Amino acid sequence: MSHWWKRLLPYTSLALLFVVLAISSPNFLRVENLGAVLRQATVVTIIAVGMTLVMIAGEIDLSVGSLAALSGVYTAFALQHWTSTAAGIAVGIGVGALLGLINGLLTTRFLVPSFIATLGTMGIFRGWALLVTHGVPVTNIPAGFGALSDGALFGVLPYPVLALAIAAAAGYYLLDHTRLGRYCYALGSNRSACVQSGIPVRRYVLLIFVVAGAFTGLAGAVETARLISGQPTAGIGLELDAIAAVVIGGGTLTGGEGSILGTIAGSFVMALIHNGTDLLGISPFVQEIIIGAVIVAVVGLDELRRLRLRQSEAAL
Amino acid sequence: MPIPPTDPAPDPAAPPAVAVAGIWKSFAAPVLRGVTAEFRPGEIHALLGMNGAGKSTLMKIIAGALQPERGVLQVNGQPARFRHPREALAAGIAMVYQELDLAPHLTVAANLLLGAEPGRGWGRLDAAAERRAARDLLDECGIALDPARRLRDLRTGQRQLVAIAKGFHRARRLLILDEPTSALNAAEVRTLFQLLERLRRGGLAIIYISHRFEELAQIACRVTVLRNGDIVFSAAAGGEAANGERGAAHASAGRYTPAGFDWPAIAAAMVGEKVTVTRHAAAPAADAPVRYELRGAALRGHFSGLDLAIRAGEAVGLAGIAGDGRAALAECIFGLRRFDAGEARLDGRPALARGSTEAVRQGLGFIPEDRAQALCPQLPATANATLATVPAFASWWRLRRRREAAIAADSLAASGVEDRFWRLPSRSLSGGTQQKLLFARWLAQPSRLLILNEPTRGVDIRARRDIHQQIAARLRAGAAVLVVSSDLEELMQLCHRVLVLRRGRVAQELAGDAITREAMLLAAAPAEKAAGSADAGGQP
Repeated sequence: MSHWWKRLLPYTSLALLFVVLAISSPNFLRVENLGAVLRQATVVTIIAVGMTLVMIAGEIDLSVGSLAALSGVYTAFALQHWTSTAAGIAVGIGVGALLGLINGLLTTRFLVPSFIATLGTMGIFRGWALLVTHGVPVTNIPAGFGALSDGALFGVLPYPVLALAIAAAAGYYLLDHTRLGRYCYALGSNRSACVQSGIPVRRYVLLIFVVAGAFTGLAGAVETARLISGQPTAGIGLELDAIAAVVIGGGTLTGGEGSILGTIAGSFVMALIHNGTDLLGISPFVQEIIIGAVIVAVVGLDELRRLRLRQSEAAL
Repeated sequence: MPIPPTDPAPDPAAPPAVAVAGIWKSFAAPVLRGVTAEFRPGEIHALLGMNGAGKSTLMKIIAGALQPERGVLQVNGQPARFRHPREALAAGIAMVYQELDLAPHLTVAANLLLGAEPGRGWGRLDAAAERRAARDLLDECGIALDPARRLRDLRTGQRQLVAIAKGFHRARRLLILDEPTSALNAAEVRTLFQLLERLRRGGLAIIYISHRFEELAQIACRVTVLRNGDIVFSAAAGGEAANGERGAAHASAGRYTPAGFDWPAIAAAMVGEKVTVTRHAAAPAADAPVRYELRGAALRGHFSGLDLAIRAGEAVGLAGIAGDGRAALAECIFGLRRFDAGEARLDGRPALARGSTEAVRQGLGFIPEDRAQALCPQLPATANATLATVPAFASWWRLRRRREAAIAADSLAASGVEDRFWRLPSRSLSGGTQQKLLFARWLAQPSRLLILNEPTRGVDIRARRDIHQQIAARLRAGAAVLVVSSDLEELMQLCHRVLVLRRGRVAQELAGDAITREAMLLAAAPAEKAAGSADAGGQP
């Protein structure tokens, strides 16, 4: 019983939050407001999808904010060069995957724990982005690329939502319907069990970082569209939002647990808190406090539940 | 090699440091059935017994970690009752756990005084006093180590000495050591014995649990054997004890020679009456092909010059005592570690696995000593069962869930895991079911050679029988099986041949009815050689 209760926790909190905001703020349910929430949440949610894979596998990626910025910068360069939206997105994803490869190689070949490796690349990627742009945003990109942020497919489905949906679907499929996804859970659950089952552990950890990098690269491209420029200072602090989304969605820092749907719910819980406190006129300083408290409360509740579960299992 | 014959024998008139009388303890079944024993100051008391004889339960009772149901405990002639290990420590009784209670990043001095650091008030440490105290303690024990060195920079043997000094620091009446030499080389063993001899002469009582007869012959003053919760043998060095007459004779000679135990009688006492076991699977035909062959295998510090051949349908056991290289050999064969030398063949083709991925691909299966190492606790039984065979139902782009369910169902059912457990996370299953789950894994991924390390450790009798039947079924299906086990009866039941390892070499090969517990015990720790060396050392 406690299982489904736990699995539903992120969604029930999301629904509850939605209802409370709908009642307490007349502006909340307006289409423009909900659209703004979606657009704001897109970048961090796409990143959080990649982070979900990494964290389920028992690793962490602190470099995602810088990685998104660097991919976004190269997306802008590509757009200046080719003026094609598709090329921009492809370069964003490709650069992201390459940078993810660097993270993965540091972790699996040089055996630097991913926390440290990505702490390092967080600085390296940020400096790299500042260096190639001389610290100035890359502008002069085709205005058409901005449509990726404020346009909509057939005039109904906003492109950022489409990007988010595609990323989420890809993440969900990868995690639940491929070998990689199965190994994500197994690697995070027990590394030595994977070794003893003959799984090429290092190859898969590497691959997981590459995939997460690709997701983050896509997020970087979307961010470039949102800002209609490649900003070398974009995405500062995003890694913490992404980790928080995974954790609120049922993931753990030790790995083996988590889901894409949960992460998306977790990401929107945070987006709604931001939006709701704005609408209700609560100071942004208080917002930070609320979000911090929510993270601690959700994880604390989960640990309590886990403790009780262990006790009841021990009693079996 | 033996310690030079030394002085005073324990004073037979002094009250025992610790005595137990009529100790009863049962968990599901009685584990200790009225055990009575004395542990005297200045005496190294060797305690022997097979797995499950009740040694560790008795030691836990003496060290205060368990309470007996009946019986009395006496410390220095006075009745005592320990409700917690702290109380036993306060009474001067300590058990030395190998390296478990040492902190590798701290210095020797900090480790020795951990929890009892000399302070200067307000929580400030007195580093100079700590160094002094540690130095005094090390000097008292005769250990030549710089107290400022960090534990992780020391060799295993040196760490073991620190652990003993720490135990001695806390408990100056009785020290309990459990297999303290299993990770030590010969020189380290010698240093350890010198330390123990020094502590013994200082009047400390020592309980020494070990199965290495040749080592016991060098240091034990008294040998006691437990079997099924009863003391079935007890003798002092040089013959019949209890009354201390022999001890007195030694004392009058001014020397004390720990020698002259009747080792074959001790081995017989350990195993009890001869049991006839039925082997679970018939031996393979004489012309059965050799499935796995190993030549000249070596791993520095563990084993060398090892040859091994297992035929299809044959179970070969590896017997020995802790630290003899069996576990390392099993891990090397499965590619978890690399051999330093040697060549391997599987069905005639070269098959030296460079990693576990390659080993699994070649058709090897492995079940480790500690099943927690092999299970993903959060994943359901089904996913755990199919973990080694994911490529069979999942490609890069698709995972065929129905095919996986079929594979899992087949292998779990055939391995005797009840279907109500299939969807549960493996952490909520019992030890026996978890172990069967691992067998299911190597059925889902069919293995030509199955390497089992302690396949029934910590499982109940029914699960043990089921698992043995599982192994027999694999043998009948033509798999080769390598069994590492310290459960000698299990080796008799499962194996057609047993190789007894001793210090990394095959000491003896036993086959068929020659596989008896006594034969395995004596080959692993040969009494003859031990007696011989002790005799030589015993000459004045």
